[in-house]
Formats: sequence, structure tokens, C-alpha cells
Amino acid sequence: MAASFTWKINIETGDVELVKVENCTGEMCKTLTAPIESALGIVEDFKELPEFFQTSEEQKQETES
Amino acid sequence: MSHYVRVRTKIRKKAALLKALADMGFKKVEVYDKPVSLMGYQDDYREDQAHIVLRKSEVGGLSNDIGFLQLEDGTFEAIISEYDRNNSACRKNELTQGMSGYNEKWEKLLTARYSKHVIEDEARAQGYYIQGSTVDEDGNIYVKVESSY
Repeated sequence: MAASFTWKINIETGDVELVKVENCTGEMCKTLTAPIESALGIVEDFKELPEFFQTSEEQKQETES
Repeated sequence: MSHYVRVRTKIRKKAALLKALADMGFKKVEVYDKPVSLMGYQDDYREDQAHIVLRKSEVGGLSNDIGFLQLEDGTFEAIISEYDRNNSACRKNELTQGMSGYNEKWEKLLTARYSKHVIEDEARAQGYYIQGSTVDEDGNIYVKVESSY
């Protein structure tokens, strides 16, 4: 299944956030997200938001449990 | 567990900046390897120089040239006269309708469009497809990309 990524560009602050990731695990995600983050500019802050990096299967299992 | 990052955009990619300016209605943009002088509304040469120039004929009204100077760190700095920040005759299209000048609001929209093009360009370079982009009621832009498998 294809991995997909959705970025949000905040018109007021100018911040760019990765708001949704589907069918992708951490290291695989970085192959796309790291070059984009680097190209965009300054990393403003870091947050731990693991749910965005879970696979759909992991999310499904959590929902079922 | 992976890091989630928030990125504050600095304009440094010329190609994406030119695409963003095209989005904002500027099709005739002058690009120089070395900075050139900007001209005022009376065809007077100003001290300010820029690598990317929007000539006053494109800017609208009794305007001055608008420029983007690439600094030593690679980022572009917008050079916009005080007059043009309140230039109600600023260039308008479906994106910029309602703008009252080349002001902070205009610069924010330009930066947002720039970010959109950077994401799309880098995603394509990594072999991803651009599924599309949407704009919500607040003007925030969402870009979705997908892998090819």
C-alpha cells in the first residue's frame, strides 16, 4: 500500500507541519521528510507525536485493543 | 517513536520563489546572477539592489520596483518600498484578491506558496507523486504526496 504524507502550511505563522502520515514507518518516513525539512529552512521545535508515524496496521490494532 | 518537526520557512530556493511569484500573478520576473539597481516611480535608480526584480510596470499604480536580494547565507530578502506596502493598485488575481498592498499579509502568502512549491519539488525529486493541495477556510494550505508503490 502506498505511503502518503500531508503537510500543512500555516498562512499566519508560516510554519510547515507534517500533519498526517499513512502506511509508513519512522525510518522510511525520514527519507522523504528530512530533505523537505532541510529545504524549507529552520527547524523550529521538536515534539513527540508518535501517532503520525504509525502504520495503518498499528493504528488499527490500537483501535481494536 | 519519531520526531515530529515544525519548520519555519526561509526563502532560499530561487526556482520555488519564482513559482510562488507566478502564483501571485507575476509572469514577467527579471532574474540576475549579480544584483542590479531597483528603479523608483520616476525612473530614478535607487541604492537598493536585487537578484530578482519585479519591475514597477508589473507592480501596479505609481509604484517602485520590488526586489529580492539573495544574502550571503543564501536566503532571499524582500525589498519593498513603503509606498508599495500600501499600494492598493497591487497586482491581483484569484489568490491575491482583497490585498491592500505588498504588505505583511502579501509576504505571508508568498512564503506559503513558496513552501508549497518546495514540498512539491522535493517530493518529486524523491520519486513521490503530488496527490494535490487544498486550502482551508483560514487560508492554510495542505499538500498531500504519495509514494509510487
